[in-house]
This record gives sequence, structure tokens and C-alpha cells, in this order.
Amino acid sequence: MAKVEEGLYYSTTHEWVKVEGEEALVGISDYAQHALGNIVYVDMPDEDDEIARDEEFGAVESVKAASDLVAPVSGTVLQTNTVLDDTPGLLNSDPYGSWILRVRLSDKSELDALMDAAAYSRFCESL
Amino acid sequence: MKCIRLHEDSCRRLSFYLAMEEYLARNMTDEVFLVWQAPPAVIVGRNQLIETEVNLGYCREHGIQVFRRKSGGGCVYSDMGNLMVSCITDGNDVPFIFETYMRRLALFLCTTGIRAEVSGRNDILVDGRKVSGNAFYSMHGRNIMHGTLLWDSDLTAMEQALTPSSSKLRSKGVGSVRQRVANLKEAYGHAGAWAPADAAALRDAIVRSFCDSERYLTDEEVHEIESLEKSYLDPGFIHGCNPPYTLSREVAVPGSGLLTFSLSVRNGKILKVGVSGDCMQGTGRLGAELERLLKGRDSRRSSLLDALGSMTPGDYIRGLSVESIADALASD
Repeated sequence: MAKVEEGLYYSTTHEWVKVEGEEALVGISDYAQHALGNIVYVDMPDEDDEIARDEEFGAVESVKAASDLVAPVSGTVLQTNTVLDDTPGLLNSDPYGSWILRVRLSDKSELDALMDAAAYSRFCESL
Repeated sequence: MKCIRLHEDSCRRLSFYLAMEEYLARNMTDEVFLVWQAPPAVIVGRNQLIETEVNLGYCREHGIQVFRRKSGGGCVYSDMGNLMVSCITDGNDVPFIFETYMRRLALFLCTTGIRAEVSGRNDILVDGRKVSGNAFYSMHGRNIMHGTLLWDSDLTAMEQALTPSSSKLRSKGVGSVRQRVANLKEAYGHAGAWAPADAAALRDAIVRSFCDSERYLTDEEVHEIESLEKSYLDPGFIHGCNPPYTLSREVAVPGSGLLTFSLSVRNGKILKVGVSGDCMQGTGRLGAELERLLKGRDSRRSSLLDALGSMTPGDYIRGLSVESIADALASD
């Protein structure tokens, strides 16, 4: 049973969003890391790049597969977590403590389309 | 499973089939299967650095095209002696789905009389040698699994194309795992078993094993695939998706000695520059000045020359020129 952390927003493509004022951290959920297996590489955009909701912004690769990262929100990339360049396995061992991007949100109303922890738990159970 | 076919007999370039897989995964709800062949090409994994995987000079000289796929894993060579097998399914549990598919593929080969086994690295081995390498692209509920099935590939060309010339690049991306390879044609010979007469017979047998129905793509669908193919031909995708890398090169400066330049590149843009050299003054200041001028630039020679512009490196290290710095740091 995948862990779901309270207080985050979740997308159907298994990214989480942690809102901090006008900014947000984006990562992948425990369900996503478990479905992929041991992660060996994270492809991240550049700082200052724009990401758009529902569009691909990078990829995660495990020993088994590559998977697109899909933006749960739109915004400007303020920072990428370059610690993941050398230790991508942090996404497996601590998926909610290991963010991938810090973004400045361009439209906070987009959060309304995401799921809360309870809804995301139900969504994962339905898969 | 449904076998997807094209009306035409002729082969297209490999990028068309990569686009076809993605189109089928995105636009069809069925689980589908296709077997295809394409002219000689190298296909690097999604997060691989081309320069550390491919002998680009050899590929250019021998008309071998280089493509990037969206699935993970290592670099493969494919020619008309190879069957490419693609399987598109539903589901979220990647390790389970992949394992099931790989076992089925190996079982198919076993039913034709050869001892095929699945190895832990997404490969199928016969007598310890790899005859099939497979990769997975997970699209959030739809999955593309594809791989090689070596029938009678040119293994010498494969070896040459996948052996990069000596390079001082170190990639943070995904490296390929070298393994001994073999052609199935040879394996059937050794097994003394029923052997398909040619690649087409092997293709027909595998389709019969995996599929219970077939569908031909319409002209309209083919046009849409051709449109999607453009994204696989985009140099920005093939070369721009290189993972971060570091480069270290030595330059002999007449009258001064040996300098070592190091460069850190992410998404094709320079992040850091370092210079070191034995018993030389000025390397630290030169490194800082180069980083100031080059940070954020791409690392092609012309771009470096443009950025270095009117700089006079001889002020830092006697005998050093802008051209020799560009030669040392250029990615092309």
C-alpha cells in the first residue's frame, strides 16, 4: 500500500505539489516510485524555464523504465534539486522529502484541479 | 493481442516506427504488437550522452543514423538483420509487466527449439550471449516495451558503432552495459533445431505466437505518425537531451607547459569552468574569467569563440590563445 502524505496536492500522473505561499515544491509520489523501481536518473529542466500544466517537463528513469514527468501546475522553475544528479535513489527512499523542482506558481487556481491526500489514496486504490 | 500492420512493403527510417509506437500508445486503447525492420541505426536510451556511447565518426562514414528513444536503458545498434519487436500494453506496475513480457518472449524462442533465458538486465540470452535487449517507456497507464531480436545483424558494425572514440567526457546519465552478443541464425544452427528460413519467417512465427488479430493503419493514421516523427528527428531531442556531463582536456601551451581545462555542462549549457596546471600562475584567475564569459552558453566551438571574443588569454598564461581554449572545450 503506497504512502500518501497529508497536506499535499496530487495529480493523476502521480506528481505531488507542496504549496509555500506563491511558490511550490514538486516531486513524485510513493506510488510512482514504487511502480517504477530503483531510480537511476532524473532529467530536470533548467532554472527559469517555464513549465505548463499537463505538459512534460522531464523524466525519471529506473533500472526498468523511463517515465515522463508531467507538470501538475504551471509556473517558472526557480530551482532544481541537483542533489538528485548524484543520488537519484532519494526519490525511492524518501519520495515526499525529495523535491524535484521549486516553481513560482503562475495560476494558483490550478490547484483546484488536483487531488487532496484522501482523494489520491482512493485514486491509487482504483488502479 | 492485435498485430498492427502497414499497407506498404518498404521499410521506413527507424524514427517513423518510434513515432508509430508512441502514436499507438497515445491514441489506441487496445494492447497491440508490431514487428518491424529499419536501415542501419544506433538508438541511444532516453538519458544517455551520445558522445560516450556512440562512435559518431564511424556512423557518419557508414551511413548509420543516430536516434534517441523515449524508453530507458542502454544504446543499441539495429540493421536489416535485426527484428525490432514492440508491445504496447495497459497497466501501472512496471517491473511486473516487463517481467511478464520478457518471459513470454523467451518462452516463444524456447518453443522454436533454442534455450533462451531472461537475464536480470532486460535481456534475453542464448548460451550466455545476448540475442535481445529490451526497454520500457511508461506513459502513466500505457506502456511501450520494445527491443531487438538479432537474427543476422552485422555484429562487426555493431561493435564499431557502439565503441566511442576515446573521450574525456564523464556523463551523469545512464551508461550502457557491454555484453557478448549473438545472432539467432547462428544459435539455431548450433541447436540443430527447427530454424526459421529467414528473418521474415521468424517475424511471422512471433506474430502468430503473440497475436490473435490484426489491423492495418489507415493513410490518415500514417500521416499523423509522420507528423509525430518530426519530434524524433529534431536535433534538439536527439542531441539536446544529453544528460549533464563533465569534460576534462589537456592543452599543451608552448613555453608554459600543460594546462587542464574542465567543464561542467547541463542541458547543453555551460555551468562551470576550471583551469589547472603545474607550477603555473594565473590559472585560478583564468578559470574565473572563463566561467564569467561562458556560463549559460552552449559548448559548440562557434559559440565559445563568440563568447570569448576579445579576451586575451595570453595575459593570464603566456602563449595561450582563444582558439586553443575553444578547441579544448568545444563539444563539436
